[in-house]
Amino acid sequence: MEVAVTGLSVAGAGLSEPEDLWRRMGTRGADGTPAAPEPYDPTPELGRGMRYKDRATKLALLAADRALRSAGGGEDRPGRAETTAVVASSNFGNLDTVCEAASVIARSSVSETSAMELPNASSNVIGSSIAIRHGLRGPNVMLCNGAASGLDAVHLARTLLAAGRADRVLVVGTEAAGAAVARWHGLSTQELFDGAAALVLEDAAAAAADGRPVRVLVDAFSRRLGARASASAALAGGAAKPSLWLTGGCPDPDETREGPDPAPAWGLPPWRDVEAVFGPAFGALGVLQAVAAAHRIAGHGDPAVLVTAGGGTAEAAASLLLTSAGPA
Amino acid sequence: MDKALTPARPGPRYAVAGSGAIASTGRNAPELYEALCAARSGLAPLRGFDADRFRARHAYEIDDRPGRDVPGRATAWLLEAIAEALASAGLGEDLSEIPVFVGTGLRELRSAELWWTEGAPFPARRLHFGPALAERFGAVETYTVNNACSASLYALALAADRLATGEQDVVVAAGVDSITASMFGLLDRVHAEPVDRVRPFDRNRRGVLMGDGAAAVVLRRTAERPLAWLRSVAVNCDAFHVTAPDGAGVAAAIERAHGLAGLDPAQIDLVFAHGTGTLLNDEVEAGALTKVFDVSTGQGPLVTAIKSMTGHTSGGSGLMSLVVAVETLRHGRIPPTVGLEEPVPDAEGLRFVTGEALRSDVRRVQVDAFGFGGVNAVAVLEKAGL
Repeated sequence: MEVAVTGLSVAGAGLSEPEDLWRRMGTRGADGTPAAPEPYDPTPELGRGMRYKDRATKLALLAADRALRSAGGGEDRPGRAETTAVVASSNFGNLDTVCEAASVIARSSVSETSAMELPNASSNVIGSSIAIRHGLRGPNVMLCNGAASGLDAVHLARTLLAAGRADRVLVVGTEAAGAAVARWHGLSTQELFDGAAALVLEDAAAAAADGRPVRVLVDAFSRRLGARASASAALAGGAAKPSLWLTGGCPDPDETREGPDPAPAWGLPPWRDVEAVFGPAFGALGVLQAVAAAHRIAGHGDPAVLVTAGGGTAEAAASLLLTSAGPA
Repeated sequence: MDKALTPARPGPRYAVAGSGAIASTGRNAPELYEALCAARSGLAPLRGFDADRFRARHAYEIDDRPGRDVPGRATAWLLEAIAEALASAGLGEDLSEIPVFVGTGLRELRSAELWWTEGAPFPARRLHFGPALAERFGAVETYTVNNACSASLYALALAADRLATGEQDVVVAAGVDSITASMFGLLDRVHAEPVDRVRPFDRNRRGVLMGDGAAAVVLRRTAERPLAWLRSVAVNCDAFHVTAPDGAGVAAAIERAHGLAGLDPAQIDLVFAHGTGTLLNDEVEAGALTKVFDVSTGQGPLVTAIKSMTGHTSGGSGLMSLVVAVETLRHGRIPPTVGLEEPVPDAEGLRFVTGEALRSDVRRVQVDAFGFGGVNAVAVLEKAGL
C-alpha cells in the first residue's frame, strides 16, 4: 500500500500554517538561536471546554483541528469515525501535572489535590481528547518514545493502515514548554519548542479515488543506531534522491556513524537541524520535521526530503523519506 | 458497515511462544499463576509512600525497595519480564532485529516524581524504556506505548500487526507500571470512601487500588509447540470521555475481537475481565459482557478478574491477565476473583469464578483491558493443540 500525506498543520507561537516553518527556517538558517516565543494562547481558536486541559493537549487539539480541515474534513461521513485512528506523540506532555500533584501530596496530603487533575495524570489524555473532540473511534495510540517518537508515530500510523486497522490516521506531535521539562534539561522554558504539528495519512489510492490531490508519499523508514546510519538505511530503501536532510535530537549527525553506511552513490545531502531554529521539541520533533518535509514537497516542489530524529544517544535514531507523488 | 469493521475472513493466528510476569504475588509467570490459583493476594499496607498523606492505606506493591523508594523500579521489572519471556521461548537475549512494544500507563513517572520532589538522580531520557532495552538487549526498534490501562494489550495489537504485515517473524510485547504518588493519590482523592482492597464486580466494592507489575510475551508467526495461540486483538476508542468508560465502545471492541478471530461468542469459555473494582468500570464491563454473550440460558462464559489479587497493575494489567490466561489454557485451573461475594446487578447471568480455583478444560479465552480516555483492547487466545 502506498501511503499519502493528505493533511498538514502546525500550531504554536508564529505557527499558523506549514509555510511558517520555512519562513523561520529560511530566514534564520540552521545556526540561528531560537527566538523567544511570543505569548501564545491556543484557547480562542479552540472555543469552549478547554478549562481543565493541559497546554500540550490544547496545542495538540489545535493542530488536529487544522490538519483535519486541511485534509478536507469529512469526519461525519458514514463509517469514518470508526476507521479513523489517532497516533499522538509527546514525551513530556503531562509532566507538570504529575510533578505538581506529587509535590502537593509530599508537602501536605492528597486532600489538597484537585480531582480535576485526574484525567491529565494519564499521559494519553492528549490522544483521547483529540478522539473525543472529533468523534474518532478507531485505534487511539499515545506514543512517548524519546527523541525518535514523532517519526515512530508516523511509522505506527502506516502500520495501522497496512494492517487494516484504519482507513485514515491523524498523527499529532505536541510538547509544551513547562517548568519541569525545562528544569530536567537545564534549560529555560523560552529555549524549548512550545507547539504542535499534525499529519493526516491515508491510502494513496483511496485518496486519489476520492478525488483529492495526492502530492506527498510516505516512503522508506529506518531505525538504526546513529543518525547517519539510520538516514543512510532509509535512503537506500527509498525511491528518490532527497534535496534536503532535516535532523534533530542530535548535535552532530556526522559524528554518529554507528552502523554500516549503505547510502547510494549520491550520498546524503548536508544536514539541517530543525531544533536549532525551534528549540528542543522532544516528542513533537518527528512530526514537526515530517510536516516541514511534506510542505517542502507539496508547496516548494522538492522531489524528496529525508528526516532523522534522534541519534544523539545510545538509543536508535529514526529516519523517514518523504517523496513527491509526481506532478499534481 | 465498512471493510475495517467486517473482515472478509478471520485473520491468522500467532503463536504465544514465551511469557514472563512479575507482580506483588509472584516473581515470575509460573509463580504468579500458582499464587493466583491459591487465592493469594498481594495486598499489604503501603510500603513506598508515607501513608499519612493518603486516605487509602494499602496497595499491591512489589516488595523490593532497599529501604526508601528508589528510581528505576519499573524499568527493572520490565527487563526481568522480557528476559523470562525470551528464555521461555527458547530465544537468546539479542533483540537487535526484533521489535519490542511496551505498553505502560505511567512509564518511569514515579522516578520523575522522586527527581522532582526529592532530587533523586534520574535522567529525563529514561522516562521511556528505549534506552534500557537498548542497553540490556541491544534492541533497536522499541516503542513505549502510553495507553493508560489498556496499554499492554494495545502494545500486543501493534506487535501482532508487524507479523500480519509480513515484516517480522518474531515480536515482543510487554507491559509495565510502578505505582506513582500522583496517580495513586488522585484516584484516592476521587473515591467516595477510602478503598481497602479491590473487589471486582462486587456490589460493595469501593473502588480501585493500584498494583506494581510487568508482563511480557514473545509472539511468533508460527511455532510447533506454542504455549497458546493468539487469535485476535481488537483495539478502538470510545471517543466519549477522558476517564469514564462507554458501554458501546467496550462492547464494540469485544465484538470486533470475536469477529477478527472468526469466532462466535458461544465459543469463548472464559473471560479474564478488566474488573478494576471501580464503580463505573465493573458496571459498564458487566453490561457489555451480558450484551455480547448470551447469558439467558445460564451458559454464558466463566468470568474471573485477577486484579482482586494483583491490584490494578495499570498499563501492564492487560498483558498480565493474558499471561495468566495462557497458564490457565495450559493447566486447566482458573484463578478465582477474591472478595467477590455478591455480584453487581448488571452481571446477572455471568458465571464468576469465586472462592477458590476452578478446574475446567478451557479452550478459548477472552482478555479485556480498558483505559482512561476510552481506549479499549480485547484479545482472544486459544489452547495449543486446537
